[in-house]
Amino acid sequence: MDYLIHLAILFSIYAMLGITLNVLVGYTGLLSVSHASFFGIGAYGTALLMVDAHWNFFPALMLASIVGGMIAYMIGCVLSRFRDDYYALGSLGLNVIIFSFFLNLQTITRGPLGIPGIVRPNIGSFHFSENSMFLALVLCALALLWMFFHHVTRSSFGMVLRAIREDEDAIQVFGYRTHFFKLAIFVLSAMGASIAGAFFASYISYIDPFSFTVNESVFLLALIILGGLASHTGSVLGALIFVLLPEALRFVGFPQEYAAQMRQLVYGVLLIILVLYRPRGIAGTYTF
Amino acid sequence: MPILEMQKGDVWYGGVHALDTVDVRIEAHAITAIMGPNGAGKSTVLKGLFGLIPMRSGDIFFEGKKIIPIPHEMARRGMSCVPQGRRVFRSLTVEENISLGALHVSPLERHSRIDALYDIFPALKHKRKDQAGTLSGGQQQMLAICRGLISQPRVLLLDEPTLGLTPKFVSEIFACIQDIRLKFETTIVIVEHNLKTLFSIADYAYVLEKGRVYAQGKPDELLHTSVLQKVFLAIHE
Repeated sequence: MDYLIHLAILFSIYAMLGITLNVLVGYTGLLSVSHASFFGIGAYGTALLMVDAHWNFFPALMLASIVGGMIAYMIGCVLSRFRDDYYALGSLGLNVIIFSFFLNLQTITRGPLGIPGIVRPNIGSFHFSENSMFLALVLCALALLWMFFHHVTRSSFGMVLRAIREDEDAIQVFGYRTHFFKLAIFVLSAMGASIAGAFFASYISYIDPFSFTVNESVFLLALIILGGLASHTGSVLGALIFVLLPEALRFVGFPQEYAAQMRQLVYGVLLIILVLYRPRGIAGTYTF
Repeated sequence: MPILEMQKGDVWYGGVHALDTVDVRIEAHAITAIMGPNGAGKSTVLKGLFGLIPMRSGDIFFEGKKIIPIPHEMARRGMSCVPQGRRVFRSLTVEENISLGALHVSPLERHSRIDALYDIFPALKHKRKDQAGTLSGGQQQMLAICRGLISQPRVLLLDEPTLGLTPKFVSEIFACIQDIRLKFETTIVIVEHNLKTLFSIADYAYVLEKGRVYAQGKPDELLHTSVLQKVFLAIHE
């Protein structure tokens, strides 16, 4: 049972990441390869505040999320002037830079040694130390994020985002300054990813820079492409598959020495099949 | 005093001189036609007036005041542009597409304006919840015009609104344009190839050739000269 709860917690965290990335890539059409960096900012921010400053999880989460949003705002001011390939390259560069900070800013992040001893959240004397309780908490956060971004994407703001995805030049003709919209959704997406990072740090209790590499950003992109672009349901389904698939493959009986490579191979084949036969993913609105 | 004016507009696309010291005056509440063969610079005039392309030199005046045209500023001044090729947002519904044209309008006001526009474009009313990508070419063009009108612009710029449409839809679109002028007293600038129909509704026309104003005047006057033959059929004495 504990194993299933563990998977459910990981699924919830990745579903949060999927939803927050999908508003950027799926709804707005901005190919961001930097989501893992904001995931990391949330994780590091929360970990440092909890371990070094002994903050409670919840204010630490809020501050980490705000910091993630502020960093996104500063970078987004430049990034939102770009589109298409340039946006993807810019965001890729951002992930590399932030990863370098995590790795080399040793006085703060402790570099490759990482930060151990991150405790679970508590409200007064009530501690979410049981995995089942932590799951309840993370599911609440997922539900709140889902509702928030559902509202965002259904609003007139979301309508403009979808129009930007389709034809940014055309929407500018009606007086929309699209870079403000792109900046706003980038900041919201980054704040959401930071919240997921806070839960990740608290759950795993140890973080190091290698959880927030460009590879992780690409993994998250694959997750939403598989689940379906511009669909919250798709993000959640993508997370479900990407969390459960490695576990299912454990029982396939690959030889121990090749198991990891075989799993990667299965991922690759799955993505190729999807691109060929279901380019909209499982529940997507748009093709990639 | 014209509501909108371009003075000595000069535009280059790389090494191509697209507009060469063009003067255009748009009178309020009138329909002004901008005509010419392919590559004459018609669309460039509209883009220059709305700020969609930078002019190398020349000035734009709005209500007699010199301005630097920037699309969002022009929209705020009460101008609306319906670009060439319709450019509707295909995955959005008809109603969402129209709503996008009303940036500074409250939701309540927007709904009442949309209902009023459905009187001019009844074909869209029945398809209000359909995705724009599922509409026919003519309906998409109506939607594009409707989207340009929702902000109740004082000046509406239309870039080839009948391009690629069947004669039936061409007549419908021109009937709608006339309707718009009568109902809303909108100043309309229209770039168009369809001379015969355009001349029946235009008050004034500019004929462009190779980036310069070749002739201008009232449509009746132009029809009785050899200007159109010279420009469109390249018949030169």
